[in-house]
Amino acid sequence: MWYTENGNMGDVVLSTRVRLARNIASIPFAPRMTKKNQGDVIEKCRKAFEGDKDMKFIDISSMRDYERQALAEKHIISPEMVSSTRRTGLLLSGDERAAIMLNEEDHIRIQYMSSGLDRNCLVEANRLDDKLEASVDFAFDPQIGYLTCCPTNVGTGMRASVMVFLPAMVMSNSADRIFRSLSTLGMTVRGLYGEGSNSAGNIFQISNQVTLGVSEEEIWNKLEQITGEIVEKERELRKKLYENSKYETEDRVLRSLGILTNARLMSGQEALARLSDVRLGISLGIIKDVSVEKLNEVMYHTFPATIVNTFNIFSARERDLKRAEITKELTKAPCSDDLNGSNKENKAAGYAEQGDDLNA
Amino acid sequence: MKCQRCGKNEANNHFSRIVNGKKEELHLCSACANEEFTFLPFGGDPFGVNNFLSGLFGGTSADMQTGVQNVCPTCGITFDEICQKSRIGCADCYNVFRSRLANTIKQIHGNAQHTGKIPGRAGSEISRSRRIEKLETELNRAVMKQEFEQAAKIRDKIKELRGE
Ligand SMILES: [Zn+2]
Ligand SMILES: [Zn+2]
Repeated sequence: MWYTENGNMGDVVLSTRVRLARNIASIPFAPRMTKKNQGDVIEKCRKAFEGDKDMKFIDISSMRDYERQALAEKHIISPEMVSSTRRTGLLLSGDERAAIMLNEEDHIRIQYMSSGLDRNCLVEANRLDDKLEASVDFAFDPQIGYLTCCPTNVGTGMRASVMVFLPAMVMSNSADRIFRSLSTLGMTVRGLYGEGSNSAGNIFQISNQVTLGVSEEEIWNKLEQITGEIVEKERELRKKLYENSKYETEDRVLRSLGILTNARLMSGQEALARLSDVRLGISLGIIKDVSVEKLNEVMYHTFPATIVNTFNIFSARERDLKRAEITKELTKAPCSDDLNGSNKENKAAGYAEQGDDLNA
Repeated sequence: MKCQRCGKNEANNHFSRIVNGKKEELHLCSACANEEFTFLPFGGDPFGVNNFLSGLFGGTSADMQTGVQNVCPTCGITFDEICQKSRIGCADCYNVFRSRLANTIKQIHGNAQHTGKIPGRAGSEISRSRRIEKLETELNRAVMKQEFEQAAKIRDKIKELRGE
């Protein structure tokens, strides 16, 4: 799957996402929607993809909260959708790259995701938009552009974002300064698993702030250029870090690998932090027998709702025990069926066939 | 006010933006502001001082006026409710409250005119008028420069687009 692949500039850029916000002209927006309106949005969009065998519909509202959370852990749906009380749905492609959220804040949120820095997300999101537009009338104004529930999204309705891994920036205490300069350039930086530069796992999301008065291409080009700068800076800092403190860096990285493959109890926070060290170790060539793909697989499988969903384990202590088993897989042969769990019947209809595939 | 970065000099560069509905401010001296900007290749300050936001809809409910439409006839939302929730009720709201929303939109984006994608069906008329507008600017420029041959060509194109 895209979220475990090692893509373009994969040592720094984990993934790219392009999201387009759209609303149906004749249906009131979220604050004024009835249950019937919500059903209509879902029906119209499902119809638009009728006959497209690759796009499956998933009724998010009928899923259990941990099942929704597990989708959010893979960034397939937004955190807002996990807790939404509206009737929500998802159109998801077989490769889980195309994900159209229905009745999130806007009627329609088209997303296309890919590993590494990938311009194709823009192309594909645009294609999905054209496909919907062939049968759905979007709320659009010649001056304000695509009309959205919140005025921060009007115009293109587009957010392009990259998920970046910046351990050296954080360790060298330059992350906060760089993030501030990014924000003055019209980019938003969020810690993916925490606030500011304290984000566990040193993973951050960078996205465009402004959506009106710039074209989709311009938004993308700016993100691409800034991401390129970030990648260069991070690589330079990693090199410097390793040159200046060779043994300390090697010790830190190998110690984390040792703990991940030997501990009996592993919390989610610790797993993220240690996996971050291992990821750094791989990029510096210190660790050679763990692939980035394997690391990504293990990372996604250590997330709490994914453990609940895969192994039906609800107690936090038992999850920590299971998580330590999962992280042991890092240095094992590529495939292990153990990690996929046996309780597939637990999954929502329509999603079970997709698999929660550690072997993909 | 002292600079937030060095804590020594007087801050004379002020930046502000809204992230997830929360206001963030940054006050820097000239030296620090320069340093902040050297990292990336963009000079200047596209989203700085001019984008000083006082909250997404801050103060707009004071605009409740008599003789002005305060309720959207299509969805029934009041302008007050839009301000409280920072959310719009329906597509028509943007028309009904156009002048009052314009300021907020300009503040958020620093722009007021969409230049991106236009939906095909609803948009063929729009993209035609956009092309005419562009040609008219070119026409004016040509006339100013006294390039009359070029101007005549552009005038023909405009006529053709207008279906004359
Ligand atoms: Zn200063
Ligand atoms: Zn309305």
